[in-house]
Amino acid sequence: MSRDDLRSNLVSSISLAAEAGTFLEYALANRSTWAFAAGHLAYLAGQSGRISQELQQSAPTAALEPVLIQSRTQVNALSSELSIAQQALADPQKLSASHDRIMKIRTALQQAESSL
Amino acid sequence: MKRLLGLTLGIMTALGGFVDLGQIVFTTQAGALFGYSLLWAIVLGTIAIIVYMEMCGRIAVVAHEPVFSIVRTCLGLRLGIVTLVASNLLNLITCAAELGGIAIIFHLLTGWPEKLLLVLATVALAAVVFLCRFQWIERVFGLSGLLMIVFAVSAVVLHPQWNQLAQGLVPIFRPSAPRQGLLYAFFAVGIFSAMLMEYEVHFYSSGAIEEDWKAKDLAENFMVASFGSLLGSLLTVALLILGALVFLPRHIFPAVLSTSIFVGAYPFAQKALIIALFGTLACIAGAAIETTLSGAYNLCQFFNWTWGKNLPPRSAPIYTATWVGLLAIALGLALTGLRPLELVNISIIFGMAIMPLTYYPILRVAADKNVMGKHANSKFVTIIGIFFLVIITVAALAAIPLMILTHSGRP
Repeated sequence: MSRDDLRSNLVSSISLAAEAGTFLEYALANRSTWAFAAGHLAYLAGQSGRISQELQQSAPTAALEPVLIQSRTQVNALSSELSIAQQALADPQKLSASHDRIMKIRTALQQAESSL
Repeated sequence: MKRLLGLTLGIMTALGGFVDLGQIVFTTQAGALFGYSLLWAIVLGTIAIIVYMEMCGRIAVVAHEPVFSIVRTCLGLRLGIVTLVASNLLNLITCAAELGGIAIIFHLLTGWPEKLLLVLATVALAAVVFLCRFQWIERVFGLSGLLMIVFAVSAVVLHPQWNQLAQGLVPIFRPSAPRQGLLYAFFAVGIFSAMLMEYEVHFYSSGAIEEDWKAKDLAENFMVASFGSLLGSLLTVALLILGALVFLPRHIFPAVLSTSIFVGAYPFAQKALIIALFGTLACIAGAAIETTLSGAYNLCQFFNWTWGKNLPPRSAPIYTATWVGLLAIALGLALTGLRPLELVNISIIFGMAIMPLTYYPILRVAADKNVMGKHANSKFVTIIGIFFLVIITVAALAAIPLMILTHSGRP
């Protein structure tokens, strides 16, 4: 995996985390239906899973390995968090906590990208 | 009232044509990446489709020739068959993507399993096409597509900077890196292509013959083509604005259809979200029907076989079998698990690559006084037609290289 490919995956992951965060704020304001929220979060989790798979299958150069490991960890965490959020749709407190954790994942992904 | 209902052919053609699955996601992505700076591509695409839609409607009325009949006459048998196969492959891929999109929307509305919904929705769509007359199909899908206006209302409520939006009419972009320039070009070509997808003119010209338009309807033809396209264009601009206002500041590149739908109701609550879902559903279902019927129109018109949605199926057996078969194969393709957005990305770029083969014959026949008599193009219309044909050809040549170089527009 080249530096550009890794950066592209990180940009997609950061976008996905931001997308999830924006939507959770919308859902927390009670503006989404349950079916839409559950479905949308599942699609985002699917997308996150695809990026995670791409990162798992990639073989980086030695210089890129630390960033790749960090990226894999954060993208896996994002996938898990999106699944947790799906289960927490009926509980605003849990959903809010999930939103905060997703924002932290986003910050960590941004740091990984800037270190490239 | 009859005149108003007559507009529904233009509305359904344009909404199903360029506010389909691909355009909805593609345009919000363009707004998310480049703000308003690709507005010019929407304007260019709108003028181009109005010019060509009017021409093919006029040919249908005056020469009683639908698009694929003139494709064969102008391009000859060999190149004609290449165009027919490519166009119907494009219809198939697009139809599969749209069916996938319909299943996604029903899943977002009900929470039911997506594959079950995919099968149920395809069967329902087939029943509607089988049972309803052409006019009722266009009225139902054209008018229910108007629910998409919620996207335009959301865009206005979010207060776009109108002066910045106006600057987007000028095609100037200063890329920070070469890759940015390529991405910009990819999205410009993609937006332009999505607005001119071949099946729009195939459907529109066949629809004019289905509705038995006469020479006295020619003034209406221009109105129908313009009104439908302007409405579709307005909604496309709204999608660009929403991408620029909601996604760009948050560094979001919308990767799934549901993100592009929820942004259509972003300033509002649940009811607006449901309206956005139904509006999108109507447009995507309209696109699925357009591609399905276009496939059957193309084949029968090319080989001069009996065709017509309003004919009893027994009178047009090949036509009926073709659209039913196309829908069934598209369902099979969608059931393989291929993602609708991947399919639609391919169809937009592939559609651009073969576009000159559809638009050149239309221009040639519309300008031919031997065929069109006093209704042939004026010099002005021919010059505009040539101008857009040159742009279409340049974009066609650039489409596939841009897709490869940008990994299908991945930022």
